[in-house]
Parts: sequence; C-alpha cells; structure tokens
Amino acid sequence: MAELDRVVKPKTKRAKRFLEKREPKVNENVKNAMLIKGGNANATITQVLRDMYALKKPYSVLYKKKNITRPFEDQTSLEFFSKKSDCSLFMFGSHNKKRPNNLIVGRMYDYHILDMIELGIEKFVSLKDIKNSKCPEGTKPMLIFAGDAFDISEDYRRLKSLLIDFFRGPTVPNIRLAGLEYVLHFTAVDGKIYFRTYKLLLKKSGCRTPRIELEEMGPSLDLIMRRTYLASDDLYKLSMKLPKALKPKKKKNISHDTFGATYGRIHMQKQDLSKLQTRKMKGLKKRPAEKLTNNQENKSQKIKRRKID
Amino acid sequence: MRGILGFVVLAGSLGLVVPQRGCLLTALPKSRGGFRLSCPINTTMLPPDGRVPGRRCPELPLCHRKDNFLASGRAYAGLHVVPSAACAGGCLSCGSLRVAMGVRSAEELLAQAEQAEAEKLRLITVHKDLELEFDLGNLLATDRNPPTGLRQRSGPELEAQLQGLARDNVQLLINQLWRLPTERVEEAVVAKLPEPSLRLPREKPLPKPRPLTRWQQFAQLKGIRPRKKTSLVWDEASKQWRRRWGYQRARDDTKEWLIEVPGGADPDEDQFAKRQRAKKERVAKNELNRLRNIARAHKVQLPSQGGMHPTGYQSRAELGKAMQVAKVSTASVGRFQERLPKEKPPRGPGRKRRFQPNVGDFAAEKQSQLELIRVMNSKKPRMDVTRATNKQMREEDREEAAKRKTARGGNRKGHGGKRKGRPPGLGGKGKGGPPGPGNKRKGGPPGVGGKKGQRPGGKRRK
Repeated sequence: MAELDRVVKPKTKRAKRFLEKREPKVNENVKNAMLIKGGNANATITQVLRDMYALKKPYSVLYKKKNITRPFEDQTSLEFFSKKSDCSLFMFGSHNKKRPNNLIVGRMYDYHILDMIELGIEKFVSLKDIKNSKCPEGTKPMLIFAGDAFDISEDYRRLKSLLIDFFRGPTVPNIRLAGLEYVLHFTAVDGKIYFRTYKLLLKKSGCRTPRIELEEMGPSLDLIMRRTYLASDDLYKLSMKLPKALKPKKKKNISHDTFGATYGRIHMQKQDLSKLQTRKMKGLKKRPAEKLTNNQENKSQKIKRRKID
Repeated sequence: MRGILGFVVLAGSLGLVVPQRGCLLTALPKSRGGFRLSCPINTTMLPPDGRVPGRRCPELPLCHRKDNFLASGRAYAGLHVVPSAACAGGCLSCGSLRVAMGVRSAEELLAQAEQAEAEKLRLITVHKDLELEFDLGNLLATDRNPPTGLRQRSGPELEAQLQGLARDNVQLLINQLWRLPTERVEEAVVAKLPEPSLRLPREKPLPKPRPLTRWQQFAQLKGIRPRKKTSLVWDEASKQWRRRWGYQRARDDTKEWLIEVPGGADPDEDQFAKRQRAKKERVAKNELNRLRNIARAHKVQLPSQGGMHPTGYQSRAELGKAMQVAKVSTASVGRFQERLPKEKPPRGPGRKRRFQPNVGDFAAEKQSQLELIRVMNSKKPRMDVTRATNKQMREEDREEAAKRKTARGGNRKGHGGKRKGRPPGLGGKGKGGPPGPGNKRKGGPPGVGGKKGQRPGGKRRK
C-alpha cells in the first residue's frame, strides 16, 4: 500500500514511471538477480559470480565492491540491497578458512529473505577456460535436473525450486526453435551437485526432430550443500498465493473424470410429447367426425380463456 | 541401403512421392497395365513388361546415358528408386532418377522399410526406466532415475558420463519441444509454449486495491457516478478548441492582463495577487485532503482528531479537551493540580478494573456462565444492533439515491438520452418511473434477519 499512495508524490513523470515499475503487480516482472562479493572473496568466487552474471545478463546486477556481510547471521544489508536494486534473487560469494569457496543462493519475497542455501564449490571451470563459441546473451536456457536426490529431502527440493527460479529467465509464450542454444544440467549424486552448462548442436536425424549433440560451454561447478535457511511454511504459502485475476475460471456444467473424458450437463426444456410423431397407421388415423369435435373443443377452450382474461 | 529414397508396394494404384526429386511413380489400373513415372517436367509410361521407351527427358544433361530410365527387371512387384550416383547433382531440376528393379516380395520390402524407419528414429530415441517429467513452459525437465551410470568420481570419465546423461535428457526434452505446434514468424520457426506448470513463489505481495477516498465513499453511498469531461473545450476568446487543463488551456485566467475590480472591493487591492493566493490555497487544501485520505486508509490518528489543532477558532469541546490534556501533562499526571471552584473532578482515562468477589452470588454466576455457554453453542450469530441499524440506514440512503436517479431518468426518457449502466442498488426490472406499491424488495438488507416485516433494529435475542 505504501507504493500505491505515497505521502511524497513523485514530481516528474519519469520518477512516477520508475516507481510504477517497482510496484507489486498481478503479472510480475522478471526476477532480477544481484551478485554480491563478500568481505573476503578469492579469484574463484569472483570468477563464478562473473560467469553467473554473463549467464543471467539482462536480468542481473553485479556488485563490483566488497560487502562485508554474512547473510546467515544478518540479513538486513541484503534486504537493503534488494530494495535498492529491485532484485529478488541473489548470489553471495565468499571465501574463508571454515567455509572455503562459499556461494549462497537465495531469493526474496517482499524484500525479505525467503530461502537461501549455502553451497561449497569443489571444482570450477570458467566460461573463459573452455575455448569455443558461446551463445548470445539473454538466451533462455533449458533446465534439466537429474537424480532422485532432488525429490528426496526438503532441502534439495527447495534447492531445485530455487535454481529454477534463478536461471529460468523470462516466461515467454513462444520460442524460436533454433534459439534453444544451451542447457543447464544439474545432477545430484552422492551428496554432490554437478552443475554443467552445455551448448546444443542440432544434427540432422532424417526426421523432423534433430539429433542432439552437446558441447561443454562452461561454467561448470561441483557443489556441495552447506547451511540452509528455508522459509516457514506459512510464509512460503503466502508467497505462492495466486492473484484472483490469474486463477483459471471455473466453467459451469463441464466436468472431467479420471480418464480425461469430458462431461457436459445440458439443460433442456420439457418436451411436448403430445405432438410426437409416432408410427402412422390406418387404425390410428383421426376420423373426420373426431376432427370436428376436436376443433370445437379447441374453440370453446379458446373462448373460455378469453373469458378468464 | 544407402541412397534409397523410397519404395513402392504395388497394390492397386498406390503411388509414392519421392520428395527430394519430385517424382511420382504410380501403378496404373490393371486394365491398362504398367506404371507411370512422372517428374515435374515430363511423364514416362512404363509398360508392364519392363521395357522403357527410348525417350529421354529433354532436360537431361549429357551425363545421362541410355540408362537414365533403365528398367531391366522383368516384374514390377518391387521398384527401388535409386538416384543415379553419376548425375545426382545435375538433374535435380527434372528429377531424373535411375529406376533399378529387382524382384522383391512385399513383406521383405515392408521389413526393410521398418528397419529404415527404426534406423532414423534410433538417432533420436532414448530409453529411460522412469519417464521424465516436463514443464515445457519453463523449458524444464526432471529426470527421476538415479544416475547409476556415474561410477567414476572424478576425471575425464565422469565428465564424459555426465555429458552422455545430459545428451539423453536434452534429446528427450527436444523431442517434446519439437512436438509443439509451430508457426512461422519472419523467417523463423516459432513453437508455442504452454503455460508453465511449476509454481514458483512471487517476488512481491499481491497488489492491494486502492482504498477509497472520502469523496469516493460518499459518492458511492449517494449513488453519484463520475461524469466524463471532454478534454477539449471551445474557447470563445481565441475561437478554437483548446485543452481544458494545462498548457495553452481554454479560458486561462492566469494570462489575463486586465481584471475588473469587483463592486464593493477595495480598489487598492491587487486582484492578480488575490487570484494567485486563492489558487495556492486550493492546491494546499487538496494536498491536505490527500494526506488525510492516506492517513485514514492507514488508520493513523490525526492530530486534529484529538481536538488539538492550532487554528484560530476552537470550539468549546475542543477547548475543554485541551485544558484537560494540559492538566494531566505534569510529572504527577495531574494529581496535584488545583481545581477551579465548581469545576467537576476530571474523569480519568477509564474505569479501573474491578473483579468479582471470590465468594458471592452463586446463582447469578451460574446463570452468567450458562448464558455464556449457550451463546457459544448456538450456531446463529449474535446480532450487533448498532451495526445492523447503521447498515439498514445506509441501505435506505442508497435506495433513496437510486430512486431519485431513476425518477430523473424516467422523466428524461422522452428526450432520447440513452443512459449507460444503472445506479447501484436497483434491481434489473422496474426501470423508469417511480416504483409503485407492488415493488417488492427481495430478501432483506444484509445484516438484518431473514424475516420480512421485521423492524430495522431487529429483535435482540436473549
């Protein structure tokens, strides 16, 4: 509400537009990510953040200076940055003896931290280290999660959701098939998460669907999970709330069964069975005398009705 | 098997298009016998005995010798259309083909065809124990199979295995994506993605509806609808249509160089400055009302509502309140303040809490407890009399407004002015004309019990 009617009004149209862009909306903006270096960050962490920046590019902000903060101990400065740069995703990198090559991935709801997960980097190959062609910036990636671990524990489930949220980019109605250029592949095995980025090579297969070959593009990381901070259930539920305008409208009188068959309920007016044409037989034919009496009866009825009126 | 473009099974007049070359081989009806081999430029009839007429396609380059349309077989049970290796490049225009023939049974051919199909599909099919889950709106796939293939812990083997796993998964996702309906947009093939099925948390809370201003509330109550004003108005002075507001507006009173001094006004008064002051005051008032509306929406207690505003005129009640506040604003909360003669002792902030005696009237206590239980047990909600009355009054107000509206609308009807929409609170029927005695209200106003003919306050249930 504070956004809707501010005590201090924007003075220019431009300022108004700027504020309007940040207001809560029914159809939200694409989530932006901020990439922040901690007080101590080594070359690996710095390069990781730079590579992530390259992957996320139009929707990310790379903080160039060090920020001495520890998200798991004090979240206020991250929340401040989030509000300042209107980012709801963040990646925080630091390096110290206790937690070497530390990467914290998280997301915000209403400028407050919703989830964050700490990951340790065990191996890192940069985008620059692999010498081959890269894909243009702003390409929407394909995301693949392999391994049953992603469904077993709550931490991993949340991590999967977080990674999808982080990397998926804008939601689009159409996509150019030739523009599917790279894939992010996450494999969870034996407590490790292998993050690999591959470039797609479409080969002819003889049919319409091409055969896929992959080529490593970088960055690739081997990650282990460290600390986690997950939102409480009610906050998470609140953040998942769907606006009423986006909820699919119920269609009346249409139902489906478990097999996917559609049933419709039709409301009909009562049928007049007296005019039903049955089989014509000589015996059932009306005789002229009967017709006459019928007509007379009808006439008298009409007259009666008139009288009532 | 390489180089085979297609095959023909001769059953009836079945034909097969060889798409790369644009040729069509058709079996003619039995009465005529033979086959027709047609390319875009000419058509050759092949007789049933297998002789090819000595004609040559006029477009054929020299590299084609006699065997351009070679038919050496004796039967046409099976035809293989093979592009001539020697002139594959030169004859695309006319679709010249060498027709090699051999005796093959239909079954054999079918088996071969299936094999070829399988060969093609083998490149793009991947087998998984558990099928992948797709969310095509997010270009997302989830592979729930445990990655047992990854035996190596490190090194290049692991990389290769990971890449293999990724390839298979990507192939499956691509197969799904290529199955989507496509269309052409400016030379690019575009697939229509479905809505993302995976729900992710929002970034910001849901947008709240804007709270009504005081005027909007009042207008709603009285059934006043905003009137649309045109943005252009006729300006008499300049004889042209001008904007109602803003730069170069019509009837701009700030641009006047001469103002008539109104009768009875001080002749020395600066009328220009007066106008400017009035405008400033209007702006300030509007701003104040805006802030008030915001405060009301946020339920902030305004200082003026406490009766303490520093304006020139203060009412008796306001003064009394101010005095009271001043009196208790001491270190001892006004305990030792002197009182004027005949002044009533100040009523404190509220009554002190008093407890019932521990041993007292058991019958009354029992009754009160039972009453409490009864109220809690009863399904029917208790009626708040004041709320119900207020609601009823407001409803009546609204109806009154609606009635007035319709009455006016009915009178105007003859002039042909068609009105869009109807004032709130009026049912669908009975448009125009004052509602007669037969005008029944359906149900009742909300908050009042369902019975008809009940008095507005309702009966208080004991």
